[in-house]
Amino acid sequence: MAVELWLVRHGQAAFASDDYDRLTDLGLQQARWLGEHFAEMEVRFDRIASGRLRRQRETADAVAGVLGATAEIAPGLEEYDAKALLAGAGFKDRDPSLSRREHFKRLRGVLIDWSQRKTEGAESWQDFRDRVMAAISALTDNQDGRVFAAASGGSIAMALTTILDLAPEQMIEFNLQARNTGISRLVFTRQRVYFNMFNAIPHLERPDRRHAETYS
Amino acid sequence: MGEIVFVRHGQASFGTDDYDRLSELGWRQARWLGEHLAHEGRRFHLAASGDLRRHRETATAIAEACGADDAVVLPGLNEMDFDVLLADAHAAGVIPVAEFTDSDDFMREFPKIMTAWETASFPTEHEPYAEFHERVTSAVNSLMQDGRDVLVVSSGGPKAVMMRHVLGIGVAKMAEVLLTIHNSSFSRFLVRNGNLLLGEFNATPHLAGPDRAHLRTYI
Repeated sequence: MAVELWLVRHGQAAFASDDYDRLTDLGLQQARWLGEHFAEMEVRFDRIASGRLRRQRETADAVAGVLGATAEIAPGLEEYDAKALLAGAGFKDRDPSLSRREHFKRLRGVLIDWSQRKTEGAESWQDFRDRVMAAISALTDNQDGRVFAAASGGSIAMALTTILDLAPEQMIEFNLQARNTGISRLVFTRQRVYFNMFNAIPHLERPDRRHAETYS
Repeated sequence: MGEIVFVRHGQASFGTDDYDRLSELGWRQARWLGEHLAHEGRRFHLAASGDLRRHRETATAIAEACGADDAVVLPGLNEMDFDVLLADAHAAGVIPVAEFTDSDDFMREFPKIMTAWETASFPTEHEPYAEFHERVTSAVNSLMQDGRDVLVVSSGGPKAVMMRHVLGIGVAKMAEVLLTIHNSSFSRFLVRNGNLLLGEFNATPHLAGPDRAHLRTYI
C-alpha cells in the first residue's frame, strides 16, 4: 500500500493588492496549465483537495475543472497568518514602503522569532505544524493511489521540514523558494514517508511560459 | 545568481557484467533531458561530470542537444561502491542478507548501511563516509560561482550528499532521499552569496507522459 501526495502551492495571488487571498489572472492560468499538463500526461488523481483559503480553493478548482473532477476541502493546509505574525512583531502588514526583497527579509526574521517563542495574537509554530501534519494524515492514512492537495508555501515547507526532521531555518528556506503551482511530492509507504520532489514546474518549462515562473 | 543543475546519470546496466555503462533506455533518458533543457532555452557555462563511464555517457547524450561553453571531468563526483559496502556490512552483521530480492526489504535496510558506514562501525576497505562527503562537496564548491550556470552529471550518492550538505538532514534521511532519486532526474541548487539553497529536487519533466512511464526508473 502506498500513496503519493502531490502538494502544490497555489497559483500567483494578488500580492500587492488589498486582498492577497485570490488568484491573479496569471495565477489562474498557472493552475489551468497544471491541470492541462496532468491531462496530457495522463496523471490521474484519486482525490483532489485544497486548504480552505480562497487562493488554494481556486487553484484546486481550476485543476479539477480541467480534469473533469471535483475538489474537496482538506482543512489544516492553510498558510500561517503572516499578517498576525508581522503585527505581533510590531510591523504593518506588507508595508508599502518596503520593496519585495525587504518585505521577505523582514518576514524571515519574524518567522525565526516565531519558531522560538509564541507570538501574541497568532497561532503557535507547534500548532501550525500539528494542524498541517494532521491534514496530511487525513489525506494519506489508509489510502492507496494519488492525491493532489493545493496548499501554500509555508504549509508545504512545514510538512517537508517535519518529514525530513530539519531545523526551523530550513522551513523558511523552502518557504521562500516555493514557486507558484510548484509541485512537491511525498510518498507514503506502510513503513515510511519519502520526500520525493520539491518545487517542480513541468507545466511552465516552455519558452513561451517563462513569464509564468513566479514566487509571489 | 547562478545555479548548479545536478543530474543523476541515466539508467545503467544493472544485472549485466558491467553496471557502469548506460542501458539503451539510459541513453534515451539523457537525450530527452538534453532536448528538454535546450527547448527551455538553456545553455550552461560549464558541464562537469564524474569520470565514471555512466557519467560521461550521460553528459555526452545531454550535450547532443544542450551544449555548454566548457566541460570538465571531476573524479570527486564519483559514486560510492555499493557492492563493497553491502558485502562488508553484511559480513559484520549490520544487515541480515547480502542480496535483496524484495525492494521493501532493501529500502528498510539501506539506511542502516549508510548509518553504520558514517559511524565507521564495520570494517571495510571502502573510502570512509567522511572522505566521500568531503570530496563531493569540495568538487561542487569548486564549481560554484555567482552568475554561472553549471550542469553537473553524477550519481545518486553524491546528489544525496549535496542534499545533506544544503539541508542539514541526518544520514538515515539522506539514505532515504538517495533511494527516491530517479535516473536522469535533475535538482537545482541556487548559488546565493557563496551559499547553496535548494531550488528544486528530483524533477523529471522530460519523462512525463504515458508513453514515457517506463522511463521513470530508479535503477
